[in-house]
Amino acid sequence: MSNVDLLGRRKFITGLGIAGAAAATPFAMPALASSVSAEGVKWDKTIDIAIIGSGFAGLAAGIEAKRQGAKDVTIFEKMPVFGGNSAINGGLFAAPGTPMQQEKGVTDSVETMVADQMKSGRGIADEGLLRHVAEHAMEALQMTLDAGSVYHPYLQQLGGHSVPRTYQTTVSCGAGITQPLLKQCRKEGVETENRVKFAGFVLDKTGKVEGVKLIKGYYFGEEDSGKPYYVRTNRGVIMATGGFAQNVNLRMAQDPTLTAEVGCTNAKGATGEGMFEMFRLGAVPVHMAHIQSGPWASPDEGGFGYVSNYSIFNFPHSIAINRMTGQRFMNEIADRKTRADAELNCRDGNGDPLPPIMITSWEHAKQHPNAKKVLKYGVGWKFDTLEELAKHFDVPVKALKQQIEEYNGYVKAGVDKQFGKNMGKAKGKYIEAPYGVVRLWPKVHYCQGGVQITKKAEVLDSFSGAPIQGLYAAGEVTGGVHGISRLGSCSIPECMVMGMTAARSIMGA
Amino acid sequence: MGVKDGRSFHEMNYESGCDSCHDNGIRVRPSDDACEACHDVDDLAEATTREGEEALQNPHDNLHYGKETPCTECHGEHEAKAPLCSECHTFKFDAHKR
Repeated sequence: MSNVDLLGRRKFITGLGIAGAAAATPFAMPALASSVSAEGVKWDKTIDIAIIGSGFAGLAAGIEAKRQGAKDVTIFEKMPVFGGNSAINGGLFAAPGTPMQQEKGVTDSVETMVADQMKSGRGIADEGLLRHVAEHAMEALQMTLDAGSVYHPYLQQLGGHSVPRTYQTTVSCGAGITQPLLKQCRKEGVETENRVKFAGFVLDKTGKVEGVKLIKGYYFGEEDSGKPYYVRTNRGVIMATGGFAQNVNLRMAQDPTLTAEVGCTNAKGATGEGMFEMFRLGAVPVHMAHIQSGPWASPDEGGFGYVSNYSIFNFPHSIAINRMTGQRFMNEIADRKTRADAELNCRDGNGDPLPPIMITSWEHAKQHPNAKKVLKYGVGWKFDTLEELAKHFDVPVKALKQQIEEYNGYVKAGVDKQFGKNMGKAKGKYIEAPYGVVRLWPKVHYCQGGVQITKKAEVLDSFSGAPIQGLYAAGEVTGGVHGISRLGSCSIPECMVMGMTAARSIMGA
Repeated sequence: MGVKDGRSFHEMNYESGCDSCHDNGIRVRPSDDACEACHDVDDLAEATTREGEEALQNPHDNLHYGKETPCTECHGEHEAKAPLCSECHTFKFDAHKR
């Protein structure tokens, strides 16, 4: 990432229109919060468990807490809408040993899934946590199925996974999970409050977390809005506040190339204050500089949009082409970091970004529910001939023709001599007219870094090495689980399993 | 803030005083369900129904938040607002004014 020419990006973003305009708004640092002593605090309310954040981790924690017998459980959400970043993510869920794998004759195991993730983690992922998540992933998937989530009838094999093990909601979005889980939470008696911002922990004399200071009636972006609201927790607090990909200052502090002009797939609320507060309390920061960009994103739309899922689905049987050369430049299903770095190297003669293109046979592309949408909303294109395609994107047509012939030979042979791509999912899928095309450019997507936790979702204290009493954390706010690069579809199982784990730990299950 | 340049059909609200909408006090934003005193979410969802592959783009009953998106996320009485969807999507809501 260090070779990114920021000036080039700046010039490039000016031509982006809507997506660039949204991304170019610098984010103000949130107002500072601070933990206080419980002495003299007037509690507005006493409950069993406070859950901060309403994404996958918070919702799973809420449901599990009730099932373990917790009485008063409330989920507090900073934003006006529930679901956090989870409600706008891709809805991709990896689990080993699932009914669909059995049905399709896919051999998989906890060990295999962990091994795939360890490889992508480049030696610094947390094997124990990954194993814990993989062991319970099916349980989490079942929780979503019981709540009413519906999945496509096929499995996908995402970049870096050695076998197809990924379910995806039929709506191709995390909302296909957050909406049913939110309903389930309420059905089981979990209270949900929106526009309530976490503002710090309240500690008893021994340093145990006795409750939280919140701001009720908070309007995102209006830091003076709302009123303090003190909630005492009999059993504990579960921090499920997500990542900080939208906090430009913080992400640039870790990786100066991730300026305000680099897009972001995340919900606006992913700003990291909850994580900051845990650091202040003594939590251990892990892997903060490992911030992942999604290699399947498009510069032609904002956020995760429609193209991301379209690309994720199509990469195995598509080619990614550098428009300067007309040649492939990467293994289209390598892990996310490998691909994002390769895309960032696609530049024009002046060194300015030149987003590469992904070419798919329309016959295969149209199998994805978003195929029609990318055309309809002007973020994807369809061409009847290679000449038209090459002219539109200013690609040397002769080189491109040659490359496609060469690649189709790899499809036939089942071996990619150029980049060593696993051709299993490309079997019989030649690149032929008509063609579907989207443009690719990475967007900041996921923070591998966060607070250190145990396999019980406890947050460790940097001074004592012991868990901070009354405090648990789950999901993207935690760090070190995935190492340098998280594999796609491994966040939802992690969030849900660790959310459930936090609830079980709190309830002594 | 406080400029009386809202919707023409809200004239009666202006006539009967700011607190007919501002239920939390005058200098504070109304609560998320203040609009529901007059507007019914189910009726709105029905009025903005979309068909087929656009079904989940119904702003009043959408894929991400169902019927729970607070009105003021997309509509402003004293300021113009864009639909929340436009943060990530390029699809159009031609009837959306402010």
